[in-house]
Amino acid sequence: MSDTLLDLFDRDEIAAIFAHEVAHLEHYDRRRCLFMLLAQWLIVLVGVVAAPVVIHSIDLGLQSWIPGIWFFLIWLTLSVRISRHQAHEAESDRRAVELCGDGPALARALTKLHALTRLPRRWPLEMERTASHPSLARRIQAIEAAAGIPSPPLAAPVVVAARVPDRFVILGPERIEWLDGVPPETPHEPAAVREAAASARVLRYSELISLRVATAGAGGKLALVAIERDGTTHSLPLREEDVGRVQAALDRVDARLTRGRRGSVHHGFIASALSACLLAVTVFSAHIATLMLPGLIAAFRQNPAALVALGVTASAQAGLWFAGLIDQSGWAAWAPAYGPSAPRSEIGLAWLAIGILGVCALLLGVARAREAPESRRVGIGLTAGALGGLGLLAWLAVVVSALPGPVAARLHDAARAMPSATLALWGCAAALLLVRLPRARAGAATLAILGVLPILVGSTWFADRFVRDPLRVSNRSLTSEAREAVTGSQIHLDKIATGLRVSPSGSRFALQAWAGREEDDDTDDQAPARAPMLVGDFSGGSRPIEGDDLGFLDEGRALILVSTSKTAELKILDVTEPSSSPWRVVLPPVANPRLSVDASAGTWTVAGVDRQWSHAIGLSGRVGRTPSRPAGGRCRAPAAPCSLRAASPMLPAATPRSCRRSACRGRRCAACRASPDPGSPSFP
Amino acid sequence: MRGMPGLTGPWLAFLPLTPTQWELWRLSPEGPRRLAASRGPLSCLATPIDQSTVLCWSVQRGTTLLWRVTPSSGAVEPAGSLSFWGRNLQIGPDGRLALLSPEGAVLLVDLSSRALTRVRLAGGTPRAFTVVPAGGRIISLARRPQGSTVTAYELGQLTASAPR
Repeated sequence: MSDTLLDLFDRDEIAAIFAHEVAHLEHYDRRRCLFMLLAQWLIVLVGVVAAPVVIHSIDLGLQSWIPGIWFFLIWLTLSVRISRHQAHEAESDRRAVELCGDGPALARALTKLHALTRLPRRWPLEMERTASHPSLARRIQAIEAAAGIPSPPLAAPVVVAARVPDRFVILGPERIEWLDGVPPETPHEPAAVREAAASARVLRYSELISLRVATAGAGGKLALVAIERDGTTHSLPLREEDVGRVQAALDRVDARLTRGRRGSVHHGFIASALSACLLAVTVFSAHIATLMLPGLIAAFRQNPAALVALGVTASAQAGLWFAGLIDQSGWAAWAPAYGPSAPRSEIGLAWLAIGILGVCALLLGVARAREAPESRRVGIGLTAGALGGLGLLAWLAVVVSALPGPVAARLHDAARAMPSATLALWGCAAALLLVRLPRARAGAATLAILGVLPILVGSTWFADRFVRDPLRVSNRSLTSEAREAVTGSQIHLDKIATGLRVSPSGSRFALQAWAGREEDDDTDDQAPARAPMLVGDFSGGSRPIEGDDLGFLDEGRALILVSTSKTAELKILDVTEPSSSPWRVVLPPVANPRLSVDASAGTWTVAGVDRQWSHAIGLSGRVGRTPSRPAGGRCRAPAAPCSLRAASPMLPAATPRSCRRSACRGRRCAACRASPDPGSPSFP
Repeated sequence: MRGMPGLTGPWLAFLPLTPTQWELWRLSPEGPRRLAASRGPLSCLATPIDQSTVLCWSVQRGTTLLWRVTPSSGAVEPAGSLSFWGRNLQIGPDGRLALLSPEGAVLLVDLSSRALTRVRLAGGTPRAFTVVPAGGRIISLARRPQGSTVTAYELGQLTASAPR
């Protein structure tokens, strides 16, 4: 409590507020604080100690799940604390009345506090359920009940004229009347207003779930807003001078409203838990973009619309994955390029979890909508709007993706890569179905049908019929059998090595040895710069050899490629006596060269790119022969949006790191193939 | 081959960008020719598996697909599939193929009989990141915190024969 508040509050009000805070201190006794501290330390310990131990020493097959489990534990702890907070505040108010024995003082203090901090007297419906504190109106009711102060009904009807002409509201002891078409000169008497009104709608308070003064419109004008149990909303613009009178009348009728039921279970907690679980599992295994919107909305606003949308998107996404209609996505899909990948069974388990959690969210949302029909429309705009926007964006992305062509192939790939084009629309449709209006149902049906189209485009049927790409035909599984291998011999090197080359019998090996600097990439084709070659055998001997690449001809001889900016040289070396070279041939300069040797046929191939990285270069010849010009040629790169980055005889993927994204229009040129056919034109 | 970097993949639904597509091209002095396109990352061996054929592989949906590509004719034919993500496919001096499974097991591929031999390496050695079959052995290269380890594993009887 600040000095300002101490100055503004009366002594009995200050005492009441202090009593409320003392009640908090009583609640958080030594045992409870110790328990909370231990829980916090346990979470930290699980993250700092237990998780690494499990990851590195116990092979449970759960390694990739541990971050998700840890995230869930943190969320669960925080949720348990937050879920009890509102009840704890109400308990503290009651205890404060006991301690100070002055309920009205506490009510006055809280009223002043809300006025000073510009908090509304009554929360919106969803906020009433999820806020940390009860609304002021509810707190005053509870304080009066605890203090034994009778709450008299409204003594006489209160007539309220709207800020706009012709409209009135009469707040009676048992019901509220909304009157339209009242002539301006009508006296503000209940009977006269009723008599003069062109139309009237009478609602018993028990038919309403919310009746409060709220801001309406961009200008922050005040209005009296009533919500019926089926979600129908009524609003009357208020004049500022009437607000105090209306609030006082509402204080008298508040207890007669039908409050939105919380349900037989703690709906909000379970909904939030489900949503957090789904998000945690999805982050590591699926399209987070698709589930993030409904997941976040459902986690923070546990309304039926968000839950139903989340349930439909999650369960449908899992179903589509199991049916093979969408591609693997999430971080797991990209693991092969960046490190060890998750086992397939683990990914299947993750998808199963997503599907089950999705069905649970759907059932919870439907149950909540049945149990509390008034909540059907809550959050519809946010959920349906966000998902509809995402769905349309994904549709746009699918269409834009097809433009570079070939259209059918790219449409097919885009439809599989962007399940949001289907799932977001289905989620939006599910949310709209909660609104029992023919227009909403027609919109939902349209969206559902639109969502089916990307599924059709991404199906095998579409690929077989329209795409016709050789890499899309079916490919049979190889038959498998198991063998064991025992360690024969082993050599330890004190350098980081890549680019393993092996002699025909496996008795010798060659490596590129990097002194003290570890390369992140475990694909040895992507070494960024020349590293010294090291030739060794399993007796322990090894010697450095100058060269860019090496291929064994037999157990004692190897072909070495040495490349500089001006020339390249290919030579035979006796690996036991590298100083002697019985044969060598000079080649044109080649950047990023790769040597391939076919020892049995006695042929060699060198491929790379030219110094301008605009052409692939392929050169070939026979070992021991020195032609005037090696066979091969310069090959122009495809008219791709970016230039060549590397080349080799049968070129593997090369690094696209330096591709300029803007020039690539979203694609990157990874490699090309040079033709080393002996019959092709000689090198210019 | 063309493609888009992977890290944007999971967020594609938010961005109106072209999704990943890997294309196989033949470059020759007559000009480039597009042979095929794949949804998953596509790579080809640096060394041809015979005089006219190169082996390429793509990974998608947790499966590794092998393809025979004949550059002269532009033919792309299926060579078999593996029900996991294969890593670091290598061809040995005698033409045998080896790759690593996600669990670190070595797999020898015989394209002629479409057979796959799963070889479990003896324990106690660092996890291999490259394996090359040679003679009756498998040579592996593994990394340690302060260096590397080259190990020769004895296979004894091999069933996977050389594809050339």
